[in-house]
Amino acid sequence: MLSINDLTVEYYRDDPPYSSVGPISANHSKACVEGRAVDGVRLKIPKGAIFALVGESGCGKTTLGLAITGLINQRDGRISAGSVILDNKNILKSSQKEFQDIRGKQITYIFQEPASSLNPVFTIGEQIDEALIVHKITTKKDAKGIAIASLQKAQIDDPERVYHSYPYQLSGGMKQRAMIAMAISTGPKLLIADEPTTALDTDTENEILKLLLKLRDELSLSVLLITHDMRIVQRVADQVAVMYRGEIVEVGTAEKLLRVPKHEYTKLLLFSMPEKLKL
Amino acid sequence: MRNSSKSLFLSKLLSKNKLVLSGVLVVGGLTIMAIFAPLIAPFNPLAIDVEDALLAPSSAHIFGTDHLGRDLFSRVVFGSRISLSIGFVAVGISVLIGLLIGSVAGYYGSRIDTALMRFVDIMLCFPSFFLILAVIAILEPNIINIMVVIGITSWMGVARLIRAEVLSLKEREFILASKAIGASDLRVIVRHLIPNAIAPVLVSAVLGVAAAVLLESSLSFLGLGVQPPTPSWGNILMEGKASLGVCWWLMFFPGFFILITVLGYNLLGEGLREYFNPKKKIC
Repeated sequence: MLSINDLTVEYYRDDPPYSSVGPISANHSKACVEGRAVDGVRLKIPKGAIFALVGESGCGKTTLGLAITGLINQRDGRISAGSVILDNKNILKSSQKEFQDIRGKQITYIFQEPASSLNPVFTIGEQIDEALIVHKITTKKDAKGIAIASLQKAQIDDPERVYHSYPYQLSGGMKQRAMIAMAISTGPKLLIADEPTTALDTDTENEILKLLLKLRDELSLSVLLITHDMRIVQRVADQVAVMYRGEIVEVGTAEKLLRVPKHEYTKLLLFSMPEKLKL
Repeated sequence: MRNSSKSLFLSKLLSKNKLVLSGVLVVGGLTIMAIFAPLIAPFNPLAIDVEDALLAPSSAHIFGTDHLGRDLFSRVVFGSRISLSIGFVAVGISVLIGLLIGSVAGYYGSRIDTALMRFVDIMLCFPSFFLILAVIAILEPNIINIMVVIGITSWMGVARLIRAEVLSLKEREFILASKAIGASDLRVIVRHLIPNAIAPVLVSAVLGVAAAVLLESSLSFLGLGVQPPTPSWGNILMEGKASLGVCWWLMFFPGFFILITVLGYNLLGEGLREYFNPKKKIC
């Protein structure tokens, strides 16, 4: 459904690129480039599957997620090569306005820290409604019905109360569910979940992972699950890609990759799991 | 749930902090006075009665009368309408301009930020009172012009406040999240950045009302503000200046009202600053 071809993201260095030795480079923009956060990544995310992207911190997982949604800050870096094909269309070629329409409607995003990714001055309901209104899915009057339905789909027991709550009135797990409700309210094809359980305790983590599995089955939603935790991969992923220093070193079905890892780095990652939890 | 906890906090703030309470009372009282001026004033503020000129305060004219025999209390009451509405509208204009320039500068950064902030610096270089005097001397000194001129010479503080808030807010994750739901730049600024950055602006706006009232009075006192016979506190003072040696009430009452207005708004502003300060919870 979504395929990523040779995607490369370069990021810039902070200080000006003039070094004391050697001539100043003629190509200013090239001289600014510090390195590649994402280097020639090729992936295919199938419909209705949980695709896990694992790797250590700083390996470019999040940058890849941001690149797919066109959210790389232009001051920090740029996509220098490659394409992201969604339904036979290279979305990286779309205009800013077209991209705004893809973000939040076709591809939605949930972040690591639910506490800081909700706007503190608006209620949950207002924020879910906003997503629906921005994409002209519904009018202001009818937004509440859809929002409540999404909250129910995200397994929130008391959607009416949560709809009227401010973020600070909810627990971390509830906030992450609310984020998920917001992300599925517009009926996206792909949900990018960037370490969605890292800020949560183990019980809540379990529930959120179960919820993701349920949504995959019920809505045939594709999920790009960014994580560093092999246990999570083991529990929910259908397919896995292992990322190291901006490159994908190994891709495969979760079952196979976890049992017979081929790449040395994958073996190391699996070796780093606590003993009891190993396969 | 939230409303009750907020109003509880507000009532605690008011009962613990007597300064804020007095600010609220003064501002509330003055506002009521301005709104219901025709009901409160016993006389027509423009009615001339030369036989009763320069009467000292008595039971008939509690603030006395001026050199044309107009009832001073009625003039002060009607003057509050002019002074306060100039204060509000001028601050409204300055907050709007400040929000626009500050949020655009903070959000887009780099060259746009530099250009807009240097413009702010340039505006701050002008001694604004003399700029206003010069502009009013060219334009006609009427109420609308005074509101506009005060507004467009006092937005720089608001712009700086908003820019500073936006600079730190825009790096927060919920701004990235709002972009991720497909919000446009305009929407991110208006719906997500400004509501989170508004608290310090509200405080400075309240303090700004006091400054604008004072500025209007100064202009009217110099004869470049609200033109007679329309009463404003500044021009009542100006007209009373001629008889200062004999008739103390002509300057005392309008001066007193300017004083308590400025004081009241400053107390209220301080109270709001306290209310919005997350580090200092009053409990």
